Amino acid sequence: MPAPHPAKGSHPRPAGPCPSPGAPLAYTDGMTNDPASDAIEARREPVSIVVVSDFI
Amino acid sequence: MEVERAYREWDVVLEWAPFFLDPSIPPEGRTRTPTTTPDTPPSAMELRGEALGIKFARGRTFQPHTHRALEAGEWVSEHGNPEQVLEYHRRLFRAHFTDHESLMDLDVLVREATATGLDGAALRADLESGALVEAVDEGIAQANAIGVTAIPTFIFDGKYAVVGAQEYPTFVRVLEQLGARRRETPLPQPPEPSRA
Repeated sequence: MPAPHPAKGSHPRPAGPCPSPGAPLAYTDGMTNDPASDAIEARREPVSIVVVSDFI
Repeated sequence: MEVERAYREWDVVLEWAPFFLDPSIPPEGRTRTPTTTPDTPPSAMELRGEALGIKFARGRTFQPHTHRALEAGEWVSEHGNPEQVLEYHRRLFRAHFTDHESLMDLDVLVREATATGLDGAALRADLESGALVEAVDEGIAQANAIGVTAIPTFIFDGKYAVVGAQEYPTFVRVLEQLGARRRETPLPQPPEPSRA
C-alpha cells in the first residue's frame, strides 16, 4: 500500500476498504479494493469524478 | 492538481462538491497563529502542495469562514465551462494559500470570477442575495451523509472514494479498474492564471 498522502480533516480515512459496514462509499487506492467488478468492456461513457473539497 | 491531469488525459467528467472543513470557524472567521516559522522545515502538506502547483506562503494569520467561497464555487460550476471551473479553483487556492487574501471578501471572489471570464456582477448579485446558500448547505449535508470526513475526497462513479492529495498513479489505477478510456488527444494544459 502506498504511503498516506496529506488530507485535511478531523478523521481522514486511509486508503483501503471502508471500515464502516453499510457506508455508501468504498474507500480505495486502486489496489486494496477491486472496483474491477464494475468495469465495462470497451466502456463508452466517461468516468465521473466528484472532487469534494473546501478552499482552505 | 493530479485530478486535473486525470481529467486532461482520460475520458472523465469532473465535478466539484462543497465540504465545510471546519464548522468551528465562526461566521466572521478567526485569527490564526502561524504554526511555522521561516526556519521550520517544509511539512508534507507544503511539499505536496508545491508539487501540485499550490504554493503555501507562511505567516497566514486569518482563517476564513468559507461558506460564501463555497457558494461562489457552486455558482461557477453552474455558469462556467469545465476549464473555467478548474481555473476558478486554482485562483481561490492561490488567493488563500499564497496571497493570504480573505475568501470571505466578496471583492476577491468576484474579482477572480471576472478574471476567469465569468460575469462577476451576476456572481456578486447572487452571493449578496443568498441564492446559493441552500445549494451549498445541501451539498455539505450530502457529503457528510455519505461519510466524507477529509479533503480532498475524490468520488469515482459515485461509489469509490480516494482521500488525500494522492499521486497520479493512484488515479490511473482506479480509472483503469473502472474501464476508463484515455483521451485520444489529451486536453491542453492551460497557462498559469494571470493575476487579476
